[in-house]
Amino acid sequence: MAEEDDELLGMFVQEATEHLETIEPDLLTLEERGDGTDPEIINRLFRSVHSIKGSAGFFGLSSITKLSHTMENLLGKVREKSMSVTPAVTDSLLSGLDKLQTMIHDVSASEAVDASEQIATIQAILEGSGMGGGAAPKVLAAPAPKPAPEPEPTPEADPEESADAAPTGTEPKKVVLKTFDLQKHPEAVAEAVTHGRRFFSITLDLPSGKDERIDLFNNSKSLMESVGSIVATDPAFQSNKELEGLETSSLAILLSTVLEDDLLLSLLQVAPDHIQKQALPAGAAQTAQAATAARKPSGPIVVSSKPKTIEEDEEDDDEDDSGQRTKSPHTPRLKKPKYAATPKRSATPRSGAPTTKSSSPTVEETLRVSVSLLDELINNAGELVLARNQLSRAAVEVQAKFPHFGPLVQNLDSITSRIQERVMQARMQPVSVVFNKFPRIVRDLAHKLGKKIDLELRGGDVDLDKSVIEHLSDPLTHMIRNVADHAIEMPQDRLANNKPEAGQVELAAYHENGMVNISLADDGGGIDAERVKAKALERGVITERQADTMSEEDALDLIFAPGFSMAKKISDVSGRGVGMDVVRTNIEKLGGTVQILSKVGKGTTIILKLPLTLAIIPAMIVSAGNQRFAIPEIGLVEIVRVAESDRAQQIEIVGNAPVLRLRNMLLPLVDLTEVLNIPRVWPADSQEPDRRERLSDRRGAMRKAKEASLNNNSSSSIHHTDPLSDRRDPHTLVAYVMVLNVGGNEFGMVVDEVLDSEEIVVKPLPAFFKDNPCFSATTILGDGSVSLIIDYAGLMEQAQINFSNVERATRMDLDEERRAALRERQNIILLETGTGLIMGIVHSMVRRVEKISPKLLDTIGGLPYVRYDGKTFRAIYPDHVLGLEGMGLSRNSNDSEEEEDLNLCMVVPNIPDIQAGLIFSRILDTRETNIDLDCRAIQAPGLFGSAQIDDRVVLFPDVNAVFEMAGIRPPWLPPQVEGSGFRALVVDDTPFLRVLTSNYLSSVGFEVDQAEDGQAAISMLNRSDYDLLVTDLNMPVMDGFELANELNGTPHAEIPMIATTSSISSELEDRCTRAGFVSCVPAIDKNRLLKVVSTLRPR
Amino acid sequence: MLVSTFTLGDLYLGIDILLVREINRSMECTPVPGSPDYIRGMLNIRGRVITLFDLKSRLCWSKPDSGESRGKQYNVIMKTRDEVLKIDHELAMTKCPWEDPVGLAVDQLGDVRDIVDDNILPPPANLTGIAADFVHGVVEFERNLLIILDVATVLGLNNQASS
Repeated sequence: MAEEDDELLGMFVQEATEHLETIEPDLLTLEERGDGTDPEIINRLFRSVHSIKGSAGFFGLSSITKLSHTMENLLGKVREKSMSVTPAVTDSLLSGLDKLQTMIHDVSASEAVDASEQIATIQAILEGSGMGGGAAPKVLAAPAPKPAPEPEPTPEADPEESADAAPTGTEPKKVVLKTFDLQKHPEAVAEAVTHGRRFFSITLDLPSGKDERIDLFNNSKSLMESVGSIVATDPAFQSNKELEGLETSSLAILLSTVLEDDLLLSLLQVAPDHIQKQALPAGAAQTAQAATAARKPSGPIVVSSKPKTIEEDEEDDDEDDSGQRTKSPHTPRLKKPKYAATPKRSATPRSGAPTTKSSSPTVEETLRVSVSLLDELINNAGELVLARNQLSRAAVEVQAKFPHFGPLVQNLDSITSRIQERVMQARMQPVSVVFNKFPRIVRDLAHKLGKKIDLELRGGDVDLDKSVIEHLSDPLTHMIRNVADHAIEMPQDRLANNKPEAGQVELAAYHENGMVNISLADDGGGIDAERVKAKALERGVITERQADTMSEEDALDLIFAPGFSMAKKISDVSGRGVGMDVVRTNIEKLGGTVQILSKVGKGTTIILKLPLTLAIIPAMIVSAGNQRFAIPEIGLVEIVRVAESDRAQQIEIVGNAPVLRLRNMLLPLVDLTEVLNIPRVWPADSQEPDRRERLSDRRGAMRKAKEASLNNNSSSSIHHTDPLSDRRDPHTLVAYVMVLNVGGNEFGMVVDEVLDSEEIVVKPLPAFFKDNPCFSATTILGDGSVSLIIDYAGLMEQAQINFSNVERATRMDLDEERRAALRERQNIILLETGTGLIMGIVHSMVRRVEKISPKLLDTIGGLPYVRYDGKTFRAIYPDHVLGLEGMGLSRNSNDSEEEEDLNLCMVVPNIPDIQAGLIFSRILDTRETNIDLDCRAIQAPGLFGSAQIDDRVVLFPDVNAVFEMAGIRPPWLPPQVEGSGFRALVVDDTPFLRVLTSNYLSSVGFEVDQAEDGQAAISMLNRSDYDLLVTDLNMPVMDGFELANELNGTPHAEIPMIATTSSISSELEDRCTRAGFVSCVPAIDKNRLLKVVSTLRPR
Repeated sequence: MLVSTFTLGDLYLGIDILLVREINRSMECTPVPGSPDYIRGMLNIRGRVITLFDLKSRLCWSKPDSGESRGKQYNVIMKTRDEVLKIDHELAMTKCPWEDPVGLAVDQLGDVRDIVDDNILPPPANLTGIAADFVHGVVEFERNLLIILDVATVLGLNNQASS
């Protein structure tokens, strides 16, 4: 923490100095132009002073805070035009400014600088009495010889100040406070300075009882050590024994802590007059700071070893000095501003305090380099990379002639890469540089406001360009301040609202889209858009009509308007309406954006999107139309190749948006060519179908299909249009879907081609294209041409896909859709019969498919048999059995005779104990597709129904029925089952098999209900009683085992369960038995199923 | 002032030479989807990304394209504000509001002309073929009317230029 605090103070000085530099010319302009000054200048003045005040407040630099607060009040009046700019006003401000400069140049001594004169002058002007133009005294002559009574600048003065002032009034003191000689504790002093700690002398009244004494001391000790460290006691003692033996009635403790006195008071519960702040020896502060400056040579901390002052010399002999902030009778003494003082004698370094290290040779040598030089270097490094790339390409040819050329180019290659990397690094800094100052600030704020706030920092290691880092501090400070002040409610309110007592604030940095996002999220009260509107209306920021038509989003945006503040009262923390104004101005200057999301009662998230200007990022180069674009790899999740032929199966429409079905996820799609409205390029011989048109056609078809499915309530309705109507000409067009992640939401961007992956140098987008949301920057590709870098989020915006809508639609539909998809997606074997019919058999019904030579066909007893693998199979021609020969297309059998002879195939179904096979002429295809089974169009016994696949009618035979019709029975008698009067529940996600199994059961008298997965089954079981449960093992949502598990221990556990599966194994059977299944049977084996059922005893 | 001149169709145009950085033969540039049609795109000149304006379409040049191929055109690359600042502070503040490198596509190059400021006349009311807003002034030259362009307006930045 020590280094961070030093860094903090250093940064404060740096920032304040920058502000001072702008204040002066602005004040001069104000003086010159008077009331006619550009309001922007007054705004800037106001903001600068406000920033100084705010930051100073955190460091407890009360003098600076007080003075700047007063100045700010005056500027506020000027800004509101309630006070005209008179010479008196500007004079007083300028004199205040000089004083501020004095204080900030030597921050450690700022508390000792007396600014009461300036404050009084300004105060007088504010009160309208105006002390006259020339009243402002010259600064250096200013120091008042006696302490002017502290004028309370405004009613809303820093609470700290009031606390400071308190001891002043409580003279004479009842308790004689002991003070410690800090010189005797040099290490503690040095540490205190680097840690920003203060010293307090605390007096404990010791009770006479020994035990009480020790208790009291130990209690106090543990309390104190929780907030700081005890440096010494007076009288000193080593052990409890000694403590017991102490003769004094009071014990003084020297405590070193970062806390302010008022906080300490409330924490330790001691009387205010028992506690006293001890000033640091002035020299110690300076030497320590010099050391700090030396340690951080890169940070231009404006601290120099100033000549020592009189005050310090006096402290040498006067150890009773009671400090800089407590007004004890000893305090009044001549305190000259340090940097104005002349060195009276050469300062000797304090005994133990670290000596000035600035000249120490151990310091790492650094050199200040102007940023523009760095930029130039980066630009050239980028060019070097380009040249290298070109050379590498040329090298391929040259190498043939000059074999040594290759290694040379390689060497150049690696050097170039190193240079590029180093040059980039030179500008990068981790955001933690900025982040690390916030825990302290939040802590201080929380204490000051009486709130509890937990701040979590994430992503501190995200690197950002130095210039971005530098400009981040101000906006973030303002944001954090606002959060603490307005957003987080008081602890009791939070508890009342069921929130944790401590406000949760998260400050995070992360990469997204090649930008760095910095988000500040709180769980506070949120912002009421209506209230914002009302306030804006009241302040004249918007008109009534604007207010009426304004969207909530725009209303929230109003808080960024200058002069707008939601705080009910102005505090020195925030509420003057400069904060968010500053935030937006600064972030936009960086080329970033500010986004605010808020929910009343839930909290607010502010997201700063900062560009990684000058960065080199990895990107994919893609093409759309005939143009190339760069897609930052950050945020690119994966690339999916979609062949045109599969397009119909993979791309569907949900909630009016095209989506890609990707591993059970629906991904909204954006077609890059379409969004950017660039001409599409089609292969020369293509008929140039307009994809957009087709898309909308499909949309229409989709909707109809959906409606139909709703009306029919049929689970097997079409969820995408007929694949065939969508099928492209067979030139294999391929699209690529770049799966991108925007703020946790994924979407797919369709591009024509993915060309390359390259490290690209990001160059800012010319201002002429700032309105175009689709591009974030430009880059120069390896061949020297300019390419645009895609901004994902902007692209989404442009595509008018409101993510929340799509998301919602997707989510809502997802369960349904997913179920539908999983339910109906089937592996189907498409076969052609000898008569040209196409039949489909679900893969799981097939044990194997054998190619057989027709020579193996024999006729035995008038029936065809196949000899195969040493066994004899009964050959069944399904079209014969089903009596469908007539439906076959007339084929010229002569032509295909020979071919067929060689290509018969036999499908052996997955039914044990049956030695028979279905004979087809050939296998057409295997296909994983959704079956939309039509049970009406073609009806025949032994046929489930038909479906259209690829524009051809495919018949789905009921294999069991076919065998039965062919008179094939297992070698044993069919089981005798009487199911009448019993109810069975069949659970299967495949409608096909579900119907099949149900048919088997109902054929023997069962009353059968169906469920599509475990979950549905459970709800059905809860609704009515069943005597038998037959379930598929492999199902979405809840599979068979889960179902069994779920039922275990419920009354339903008594229902006998039979598992069906497509592939049976002894292992699986074991598992089924363990899970409580009666048995496990192949899904389509009617006899086996019925056999198992027959063994069950009716309940 | 010195004026770099060029032609666009039969228009004779000029730009203050202090604003001109370089002139190149036109080269292929990358179109920016969604940008106005008078922005031809972006090109890379020695590592700088230049926005190229199609002057002809920007000036609402009404006459049909004479069929000249773009290959014969030239790009007049302008200095950026920072570059002008180094030479002429006043000029940069008044005439050069653009901060990004930008170029104008023109047909043919002409000579550099020295023009006495007093000779510059306001655009005549009957000026044809070019919107008067884009004209800084005209000068008569060998019976030819040299139109001096107001580049800031051409680039659509006039509001900033006037302040």
